[in-house]
Amino acid sequence: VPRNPQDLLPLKDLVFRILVVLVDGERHGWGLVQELDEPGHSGRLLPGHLYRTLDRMLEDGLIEEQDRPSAIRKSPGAVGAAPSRFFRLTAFGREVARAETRRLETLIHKVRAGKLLRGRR
Amino acid sequence: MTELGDRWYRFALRVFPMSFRRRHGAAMLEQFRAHRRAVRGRPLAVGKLWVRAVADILRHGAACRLDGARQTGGNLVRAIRQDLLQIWRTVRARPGATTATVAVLGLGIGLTSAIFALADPFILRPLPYADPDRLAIISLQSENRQPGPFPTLLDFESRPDLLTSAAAYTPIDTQSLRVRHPESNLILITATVSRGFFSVLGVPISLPREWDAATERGEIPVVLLPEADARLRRLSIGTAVPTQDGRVIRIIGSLPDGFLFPRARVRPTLGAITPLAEGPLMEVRISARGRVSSTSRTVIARLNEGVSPQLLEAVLGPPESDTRPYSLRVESLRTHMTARLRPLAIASLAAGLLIALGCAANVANLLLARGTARALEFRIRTTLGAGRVDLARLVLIELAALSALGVAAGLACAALALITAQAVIPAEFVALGAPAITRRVTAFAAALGLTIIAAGVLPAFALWGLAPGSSIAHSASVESRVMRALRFAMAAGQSAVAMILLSSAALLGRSFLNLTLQDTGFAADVVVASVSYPPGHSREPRQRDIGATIEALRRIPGVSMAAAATGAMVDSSGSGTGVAVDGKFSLVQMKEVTPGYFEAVGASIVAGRALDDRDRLQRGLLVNRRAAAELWPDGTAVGRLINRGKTAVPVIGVVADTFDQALDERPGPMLYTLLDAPTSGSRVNFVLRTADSAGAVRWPVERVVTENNRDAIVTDVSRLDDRLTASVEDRVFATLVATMFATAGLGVCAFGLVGVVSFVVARRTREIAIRSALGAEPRRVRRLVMRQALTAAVAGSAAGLTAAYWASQWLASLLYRVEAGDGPTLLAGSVVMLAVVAVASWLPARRALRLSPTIALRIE
Repeated sequence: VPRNPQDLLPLKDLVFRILVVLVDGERHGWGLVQELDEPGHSGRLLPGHLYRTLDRMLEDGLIEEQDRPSAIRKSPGAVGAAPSRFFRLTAFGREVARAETRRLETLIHKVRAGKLLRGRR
Repeated sequence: MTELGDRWYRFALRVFPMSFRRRHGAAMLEQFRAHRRAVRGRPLAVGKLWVRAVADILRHGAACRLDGARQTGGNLVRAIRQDLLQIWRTVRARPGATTATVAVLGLGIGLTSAIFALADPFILRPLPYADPDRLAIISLQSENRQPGPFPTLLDFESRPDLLTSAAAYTPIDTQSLRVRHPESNLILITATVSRGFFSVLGVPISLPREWDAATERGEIPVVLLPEADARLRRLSIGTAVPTQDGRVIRIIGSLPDGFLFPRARVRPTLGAITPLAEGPLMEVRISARGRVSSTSRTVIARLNEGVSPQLLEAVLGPPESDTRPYSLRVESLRTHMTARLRPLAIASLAAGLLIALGCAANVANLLLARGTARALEFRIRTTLGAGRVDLARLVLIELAALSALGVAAGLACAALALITAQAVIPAEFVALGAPAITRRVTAFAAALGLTIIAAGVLPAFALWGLAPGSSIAHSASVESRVMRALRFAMAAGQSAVAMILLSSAALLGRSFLNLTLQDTGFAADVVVASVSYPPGHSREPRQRDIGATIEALRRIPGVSMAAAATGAMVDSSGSGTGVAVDGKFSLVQMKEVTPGYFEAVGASIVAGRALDDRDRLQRGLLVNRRAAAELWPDGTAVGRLINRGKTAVPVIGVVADTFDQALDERPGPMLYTLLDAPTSGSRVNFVLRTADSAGAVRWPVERVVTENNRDAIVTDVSRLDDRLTASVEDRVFATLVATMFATAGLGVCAFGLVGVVSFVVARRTREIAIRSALGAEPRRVRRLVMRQALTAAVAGSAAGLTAAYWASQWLASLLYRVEAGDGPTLLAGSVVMLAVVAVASWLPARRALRLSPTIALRIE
């Protein structure tokens, strides 16, 4: 069923950031955590929050699961089993990410035109 | 350590729903391991991670579950809507069965709710006063005939350690007021109260400061009660009305509707409250002849928190020595007002609940039977993807719909029963407020409905426990012996209870017929006007008044005859007197009548002649048949002499027996003399023969009576028939209640039998089909399915009949001219019972005969 990306806007911060990370290609859970963590605050994003968000995104059709791509091998010296579940962006997810970006852009434009940042430039 | 950590984390993940765990549990654990690796070797960081991880799981797990519940809720609403539609289709397909179920449920719930409405004020409902449980009644009894000293109210008020407040009152003042009302004279019966009375009750009414001392000024302030005569309530506050003894009452207030005066009995009807003069709580007077008379006042007290009536009695009660002139009794106001009827209320409610319980058991049984019969339907549903939860939900919703309809029907039934019973409920049963379908009664009916749902949950769980592939019919066919015995016991028990109720109703009904069909000796269209003449009135003018009044009454349009008599006229007055015949002393009733009395009331003269003006000089008298038979058992009464005091009076005639006391009181020996100079009391009954109703002649009668004596007060104008009916109101009410119980009991029992036979039909569908296909006679098939129910019903009825025979002894006091355990009546009851049993088991048995073998076999 074709859906309108506008229905899902505004996106939650974490959802948008996951979409932005996945634009560059598929990631596994831990990979996402590492990229999403803000510098200096590693390990902030815990599994409960992450997987509940991913579950929602899967349900909304923003992302999809993918088996381990053949290119990825367990890096030598890494501890534990190689991650088996990867997530990648769907076409709809990409559209939604674009729509959200445009929304934020418009917002920033408005803010710039307003008084909030005037004088600080 | 890692293993243990994993196990702990996995355990914590249970906060998430199962489906979520299946999808993401492994990946989450994997991620958490990575987090742990990142902080390895730093115990503080490890601890922090665990705290954050648990918080993360709790927060997101709970949110996840909430999301799930929200979604399921939406699905549930859709599913329930679907179920309701399905139920509606089933109802439309078999309207008869549904109507019968709802009717029986309605009957059970309705009867029990009606009984609850009547019994609630006596059992549970708080009295209409502020914090009523702290109110107590203190009453004094005179001991040792000593003239005092007795305590005063102040003695109680000076115990702030026990009582918050106290007031004194007399529930009925010994003197009633004869009021000259602008419209007509009337008698005002009052209670007297001290000033603090209302504040003790917590009713926001303040009596004037001078209340206690008010009577001394000759003007009596009165506060009208809700039951006061409408003529008084119409007067505005502040109006002064003179009394016949030269005093004046001033209406200073009127209590709102719903105010309940605290007293144990309801008769006579109180009109107003007047001030209670200060003084000791008891007075004992000893007359010159040594006769002791005492008057006492009651104390109503508000007890302190934690003080019970028993404690108060223990502290105040025991005399310090035997010489104390009084004893003291303390009881809670609730006990004081409800003690007499409370056991009866509880017993009736228990009986009602028993019937409702039977109802619930029957519904459960019927549903089980229907569940078995619907095996095919459930199997199809299962095949189409319905789970056990869906099936159980369908049954539960069906049950809820059924019980909601049952509750609605029950409330309608209860309202109908209360309206029907309104005219015959004795006043004391409604003393604490007229029964109505209140919020409490509705809640009670709903609770009963819920109980029935709970009983029906059993079969729903039976469905739940089935493996989806197995057939429900199969599970029922391997029904345990215990279940079978239980079902048998249930049918037999219900039959027994129904039989007992039916027998009781039959006996009471027969007794009621005996009462209403008997010849009372009076004509049907007699109206009686009771008139109270003022005390101390001299004989001469009263005789003249009565004569003139009768003449005037005869001139009222529509009145064909009029006469007057003293003594009882079905109003529990009248007095006995001693006479001697041939030296033998007998106690008889006396009645003074005017000429034409017997004609006016329709009593026939059996021998001799009626009294007329000749007898004023000769002083002859009439006797009734009973007196004639008792005083002269061996011969005729006319011409014999009766000694009254020192004079011997000849009997000039014998009159048929009349029911002058009550409909259930066999006429006693009665002597009639001419109403020449009324001596007994100040009450005279005028009797009229009129085609009009009592209400229509009331006003002309009052006018005529007061025209001839301005102080005479007409206390009641009513048909003699109505007085006779009212005289047996206890019996009429008991009969009505018993009939209602019997109807409900029979209905429930019949319903139970339908359930049992239906169950057998459902369980043995396959067998019946095979038998029919092999050419079994319908008679045999019918016998096959009806056997269990009939055996149970007949065994139960027989046990019930035996029990009814013994139980009817308890009814003996309510039976009139029919023996407790009367054979023909019990036989008639048994015939009705067996007829109901036969019909109830035959109806569902028809279904067995209509079964098509091909369809029936396909069910398996």
